[in-house]
Amino acid sequence: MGERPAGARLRGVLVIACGNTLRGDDGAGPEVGELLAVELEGTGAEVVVVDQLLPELALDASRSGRVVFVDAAADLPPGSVSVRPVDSPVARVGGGVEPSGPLASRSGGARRPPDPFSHGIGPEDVLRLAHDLYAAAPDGVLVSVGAESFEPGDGLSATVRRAIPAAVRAAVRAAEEGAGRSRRSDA
Amino acid sequence: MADNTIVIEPVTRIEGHAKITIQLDENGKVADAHFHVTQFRGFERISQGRMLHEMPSLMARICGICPVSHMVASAKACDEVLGVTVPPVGVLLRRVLNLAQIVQSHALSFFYLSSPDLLLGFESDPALRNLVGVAQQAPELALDGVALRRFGQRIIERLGGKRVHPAWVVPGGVSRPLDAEQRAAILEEIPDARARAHRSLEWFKANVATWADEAAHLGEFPSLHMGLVHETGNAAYSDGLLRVVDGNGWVLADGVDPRSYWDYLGEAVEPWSYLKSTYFKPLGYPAGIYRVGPLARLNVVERLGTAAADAELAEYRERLGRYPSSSFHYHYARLIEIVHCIDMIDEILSDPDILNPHVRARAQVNRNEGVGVSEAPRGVLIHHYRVDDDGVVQWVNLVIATGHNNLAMNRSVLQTARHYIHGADVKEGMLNRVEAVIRCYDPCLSCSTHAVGQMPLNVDIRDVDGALIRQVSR
Repeated sequence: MGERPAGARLRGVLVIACGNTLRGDDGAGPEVGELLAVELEGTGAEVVVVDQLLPELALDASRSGRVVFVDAAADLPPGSVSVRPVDSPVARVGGGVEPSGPLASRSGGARRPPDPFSHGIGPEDVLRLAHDLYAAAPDGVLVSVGAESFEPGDGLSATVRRAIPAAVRAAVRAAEEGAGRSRRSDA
Repeated sequence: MADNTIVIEPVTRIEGHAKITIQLDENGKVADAHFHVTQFRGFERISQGRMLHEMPSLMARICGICPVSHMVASAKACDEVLGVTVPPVGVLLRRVLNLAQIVQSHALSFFYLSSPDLLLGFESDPALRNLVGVAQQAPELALDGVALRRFGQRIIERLGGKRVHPAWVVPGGVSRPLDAEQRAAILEEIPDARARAHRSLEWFKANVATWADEAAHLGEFPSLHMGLVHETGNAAYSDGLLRVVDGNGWVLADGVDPRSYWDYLGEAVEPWSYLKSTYFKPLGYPAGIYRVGPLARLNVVERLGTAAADAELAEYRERLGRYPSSSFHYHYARLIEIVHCIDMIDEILSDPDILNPHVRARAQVNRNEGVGVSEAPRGVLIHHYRVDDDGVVQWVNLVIATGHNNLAMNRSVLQTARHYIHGADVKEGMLNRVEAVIRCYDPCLSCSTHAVGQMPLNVDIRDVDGALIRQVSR
């Protein structure tokens, strides 16, 4: 295909920012998402802000080359920003698919043990469903912001608020690094 | 003293926090069982002192799965306080929104929460018993489920502005009319959704014989059934009057104006649950046990009101009898309702007048009390408010679908436990069936009690003296 116009340099990148704005620092994902929607406007990247990850997002993911997940994390130092790749379901299929339940979506570190709850799934599961249901293989990056408190109430803690610009920069970098990846429809 | 109590905690793949306790007698047989709702709702109290016009949006926050039903019931209660007549197109648009929510909620219940048991087996590896497991074994079934849920959510998003907690339904109607572009986009997606709904229903019918044992023991007992019915006898989801029939089809109450619900429904409180048990007053407690939701709706109506769904309803009744009494059949009823709701959305949106901009009536407070009723995905939902002359809310009573079903859920748990559990050596698959009977009702405990947090379930098994002998926690 031909060279992409400048206005579509991040075409094929999907940002999924996740969290509940009524649970304190869990609102970090939506906060970053809202800022990214402005920052990435006109680049071709799509930004979606959701309360929680759901299987329906697999279709959006399947149409993307890279998915950047943004979420608050309970297992990181408050105010820290972590970036890690999300496990590729393709790699796991090649080596045998491990049986696994949905992830708790608040994990910024390693995969958690299988979770019996079907309402909340994790980034790996979104990509796995994109693969199993739509034969797509986007890669994924998780940008996590260490949270101080998930207690009910709107507004971020001062610690997490200070980390928001760094999280935005990390998400933009992750989007730019994935810009070269083709979407399924481009392949 | 032997320890003879099994605890399942948390109950999984339901909406809310709960646990089940199963008490064994001295011979190791199930003597009693309870479904405990362990979370607490506070919305009836939280609402006091709020302004009436805030209520639909505030009430929507009760639940992330069925906020639309709360908005509709709340707005109808507000309509009555204002004394307004909602413009006909406003009524229809609210109806579309509620139908879309039923589609997405039913899809979540059937495909995400229950199909793993049905497809993979009640005794299959619990680590695989989820939608990811379904996607690996039967991708088309999972695809249909995801697509149907997405279909319903996208309608809510298009009409209400967002998928969860839209603020579009307001006292007097809806806040803005439907535009032609949104209408076209929804109508364009209907053929695909309809095909997926029929394909899923065919899959269920083709496999239903596989689950004969579950159908016979997961909540198979006669009870009353209650639902909203139009004067024509068709199903009503956002309007209509209450009808109550017994297990033989005798009509015990009909044409009941929801305002008089208190003449028919009583609420009992048990010390082991935060969820009130609602019962049919004329029969007393607990004899007035009744069910609401898909199974009950199909029992109380004469027909659904759309051709394809009515053909399915006729086949359903031919297979199961005119008044099916097993809670396992909630699944079948749910799938038929998805077909019906999609066809109703098509029918309503195909009327050119649906683009009429007159969608809201405005007024000040003209009455001090209002009752609003809708059919939530799980059954009849009642909002009842009292306000002062300035529209400040003084008192609220919410009667939630899951509360209507509380007695039936407890009876179902006992029946299922008695059939599958013998002694304290309990296999996971047996416990899963005890949980599965709860999932048939698709309870929403966040709605019925209001909770914060995730949604676990426990099973306790206790001995004749009440001592805990086994607890299963998830």
